[in-house]
Amino acid sequence: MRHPVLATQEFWAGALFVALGGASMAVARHYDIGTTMRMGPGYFPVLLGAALILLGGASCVRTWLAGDGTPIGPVQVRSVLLVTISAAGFALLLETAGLAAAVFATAFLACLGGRNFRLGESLAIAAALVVFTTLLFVYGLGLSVSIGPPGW
Amino acid sequence: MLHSIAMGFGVALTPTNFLYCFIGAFLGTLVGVLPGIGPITTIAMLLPITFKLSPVASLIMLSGIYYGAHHAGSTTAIMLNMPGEPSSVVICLDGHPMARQGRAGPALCISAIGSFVAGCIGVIIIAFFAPPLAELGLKFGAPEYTAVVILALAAVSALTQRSLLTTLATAVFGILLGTVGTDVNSGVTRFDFGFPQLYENLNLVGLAVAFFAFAEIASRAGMAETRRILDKVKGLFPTRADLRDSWKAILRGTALGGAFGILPGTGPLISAYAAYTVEKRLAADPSRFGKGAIEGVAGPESANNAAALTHFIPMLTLGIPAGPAQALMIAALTIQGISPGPDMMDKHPELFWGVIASMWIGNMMLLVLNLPLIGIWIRLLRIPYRLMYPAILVFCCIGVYSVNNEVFDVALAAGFGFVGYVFSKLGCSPAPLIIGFILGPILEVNLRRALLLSGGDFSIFVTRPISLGFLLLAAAVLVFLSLPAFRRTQRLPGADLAVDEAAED
Repeated sequence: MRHPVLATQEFWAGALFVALGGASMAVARHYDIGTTMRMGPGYFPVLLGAALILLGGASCVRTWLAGDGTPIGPVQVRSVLLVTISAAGFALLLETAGLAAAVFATAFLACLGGRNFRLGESLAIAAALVVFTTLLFVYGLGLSVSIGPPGW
Repeated sequence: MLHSIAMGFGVALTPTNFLYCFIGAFLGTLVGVLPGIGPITTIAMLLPITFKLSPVASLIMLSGIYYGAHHAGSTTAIMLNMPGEPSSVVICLDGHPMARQGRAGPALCISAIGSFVAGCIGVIIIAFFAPPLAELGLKFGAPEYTAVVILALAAVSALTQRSLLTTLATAVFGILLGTVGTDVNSGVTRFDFGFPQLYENLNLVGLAVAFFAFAEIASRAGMAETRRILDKVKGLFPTRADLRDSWKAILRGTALGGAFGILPGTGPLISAYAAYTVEKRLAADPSRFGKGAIEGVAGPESANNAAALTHFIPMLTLGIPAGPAQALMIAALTIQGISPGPDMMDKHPELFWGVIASMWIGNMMLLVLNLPLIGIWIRLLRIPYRLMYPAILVFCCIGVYSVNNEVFDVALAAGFGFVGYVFSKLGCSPAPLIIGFILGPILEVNLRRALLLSGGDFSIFVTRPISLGFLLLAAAVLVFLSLPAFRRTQRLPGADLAVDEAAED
């Protein structure tokens, strides 16, 4: 089955890498490049950025010439957003509100990202994880975090 | 040599190390059976715990998780047509039909026996090959290291299911991520965007967790739970005919896996596919395959496990990870103050030989864990994913945090998790990225030094014999494995069954 080039993985991956390569070359330009014999901090990143542009470009061109590629699968927007938010939430809450709050929020948000969200079950999972992680990591392994907000 | 092996067993058989070997094998079996979590995520989550353990115990446990998972992945492949590990995909092809014919027992048993034999031989291969390779490694100068890293990156990129260009680019991106932080040579901070937390290199555990765990959870959480029909296992023992048919497949598989596993890359997965293809080509009646041919289980399973063990050789002898799991283990050792390399055999013989001895012990434990306890593992498969993944997510966050006590690392991991999801949708496999990340700094340091030595002349890489050898091998791997003939055999029916080929290996 032929797929339009713009719907293939290889094309967009190629485009993504061209963008990433270009961006990194733009940033690394400002570091001292040096010479081949005495490589400066910028030499390697610029080299890598160029390589990325080449490889990405080649992937785009090749897909275009072949006219076919692997189709991109379905995207689960809710799941990926909620997983990202829940992990970011952990980072935000851990030192401001303590381990208990962070674990609870992370677990609950993660459940929200799932296909069959059930409120009661999610609350139970979150609560159970708070207890378990507190026991294991703080008391068992001596992780240095405060369970509640700092100073509690 | 015999003396070293004896010493190794002495180390491995201390109560502590024996216990951690068991814990590793047990956890490995557990995550190998459970889909949705694999050895890499587990190792990443447990890394903080290893800080409290001795280096030997840490490595014994972590390696146990790795090869334990590879043993166990075939259980679900046979019983449920669902591989617990991507490298067990091929086992589904003939293993599950056997289960449906009521022959799950013999399939599981042959699979366990094959794994055990492969494991034993794999350990012997390591014991014999590692010391000479380490000796060779001691002679390495900067050009040789550069060349061997290039070989590793070429192998990782070529020995993969995806588009070669995409995979190479992913590896290069990984190397680029490795440049974030302070450049050792000049003291300049690169790609820090003003964040002081980025003056150090990116947190490897964070990256591993982001690309393997977070991205995987984001994909699976939204998917419907597959209905599973569990078969009861009766009659564990294979018939004489089974044994007679399998033993050659087991040996062939072990040879293939042992060889492929040494090269960095997805050794176990490719070995399993290769073994299946070989068995099918050599069979008197190839039409039996896909319908329950026991060679189709014995060969790939042995290959898978032999490769899982020889995968440790580059790490133990040269300090180069053959896969992301080994990269994490190297990180664990580095944090403990041990830098793996050719001199590890001399400087830390108890670590080197202790780990090798424990692999053999672990192999025996896995025989017990996999067969008699099969009922327990099957029952565990009933746990729905929606109950597991919040826990995995939380443990991963805590794991990432505890490396540097930095919430910034967790936030960064969250962001990279999103990137990882995009990557997986675009067919970019995470393993090359992680390997590129770890090998990048080694590549840069040695490239710099080599060019300094040669006065900017690139011919130094081809005038020195060892370096030239590695580069030729890299070219051969890239050319040979990108040939359409090889790539076409990779599109086996089993590829559709893979949960996510790009994930854990």
